[in-house]
Amino acid sequence: MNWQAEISEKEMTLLCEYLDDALSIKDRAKFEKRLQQSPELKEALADMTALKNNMRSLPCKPVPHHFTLTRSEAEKARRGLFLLPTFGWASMVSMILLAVIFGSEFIFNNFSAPQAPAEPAAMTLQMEAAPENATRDTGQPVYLLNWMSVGGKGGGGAGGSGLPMGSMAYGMGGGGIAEQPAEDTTLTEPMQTEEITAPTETATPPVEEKITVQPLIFGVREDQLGQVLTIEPDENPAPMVAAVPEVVEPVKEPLIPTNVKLILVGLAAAFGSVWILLKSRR
Amino acid sequence: MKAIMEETELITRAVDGDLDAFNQLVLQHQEVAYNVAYRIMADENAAADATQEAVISMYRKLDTYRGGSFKSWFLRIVTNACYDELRRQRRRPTIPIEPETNEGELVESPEWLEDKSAGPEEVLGSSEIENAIQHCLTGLEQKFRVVITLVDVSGEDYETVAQIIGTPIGTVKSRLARARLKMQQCLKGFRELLPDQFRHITEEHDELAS
Repeated sequence: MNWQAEISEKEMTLLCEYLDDALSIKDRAKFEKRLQQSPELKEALADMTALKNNMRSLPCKPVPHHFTLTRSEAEKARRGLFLLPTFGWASMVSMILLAVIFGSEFIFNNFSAPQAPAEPAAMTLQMEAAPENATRDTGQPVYLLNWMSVGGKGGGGAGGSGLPMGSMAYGMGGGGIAEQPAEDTTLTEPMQTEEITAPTETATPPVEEKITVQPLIFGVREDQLGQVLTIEPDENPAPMVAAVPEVVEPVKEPLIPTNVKLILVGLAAAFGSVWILLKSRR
Repeated sequence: MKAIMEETELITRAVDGDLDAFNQLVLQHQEVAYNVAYRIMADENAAADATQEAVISMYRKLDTYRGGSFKSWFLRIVTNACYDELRRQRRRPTIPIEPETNEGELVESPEWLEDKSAGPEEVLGSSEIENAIQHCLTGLEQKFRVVITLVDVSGEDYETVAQIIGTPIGTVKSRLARARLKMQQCLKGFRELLPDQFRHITEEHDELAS
């Protein structure tokens, strides 16, 4: 009779427990009752009993030699054991440091609020301009570049330049050009130019007293837009370089230098490898 | 009781670094350890290697012994050593050395491999059963082989086996049931070789059941 097809795995497990006397008295009684009713179960029990007896009857192999340790073997076995925890801990510490570094950088890069760029997108006008005082004293020509009309309005300013009002540099930038009502259009004194930077939000508006001309855009009349203006033209005018407005992307500096990270990765790998080697030998 | 006390004392001394005490413990349990290893590895040399490795490993780990049955702890180390050895064998399979004659022909049944300890007729009955069982055991998956060896060959109870292999007792029960089923199916093919053994036990049991 093929009992294997008739008996479930659960019944087989119960049968083994019954055979090994591992059932409780109650379960044993219940199983014996089922055993009386099921010829398949009875046959399975007979086969399993035979198997168990055969397994038990296997001869006990005599040991080929004693497995005791000599003094030298014992010393050899103990040698190098102290290194195992050392390398294990070193590897773990390196891994934790790496996890902290990468984790903090990930959080810093992905979840921190965008920072205002230290140096906003600036349009600079670099000129070989003499310093303020030198311009005044020597009467060096001063060049002005009119950026034509720029959409939008807003005030340039000298805010933050730290210069006195008399030498106020005219700001220019995203804000566009301020249009101020004026009465006079004459340019009375050379314009002091410095590097023109974009206005910041905190830029102070130009003082009204100073802007008395109309429509003066950076001190240029409207009909002079687009021209390079010179006052006291020089025979050898200095070249003017108008820098292309450049957008400076703020470079995110990593919190921890890459070298340090690489060293840590190397250390973790080295310590881990030695630890695994020692562990496998153990 | 006295034996248990002696063993506890030996363990304490061994943990304190007494090599003689440790060796006495080894002598007490080496036979069962070697036999378990032999049934798992199915090779005498590999079993001896695994047992020796287990003894060295046990000596190193003595300070991690936390009480309980010393035999179970030792057998756990032995089974782990067997797993390691089997893993090593899988990575580097060995090719048996086949001796050759002077003409370069392979020698079947070389004389130097012959077991001269017992005559063929003496060992015929028991060795046939043993070979058949060992063949079927070797055919089992490792996890089943270890459980059936520990329960049926070494005679450990379910709880001890669960401790040795580090699994829940339910896993031991189900693995044992499946292992026995597979063994029984495998041994069916050897019924012609072992008619008396099987018939005798089956008939005996039938009588008992009726």
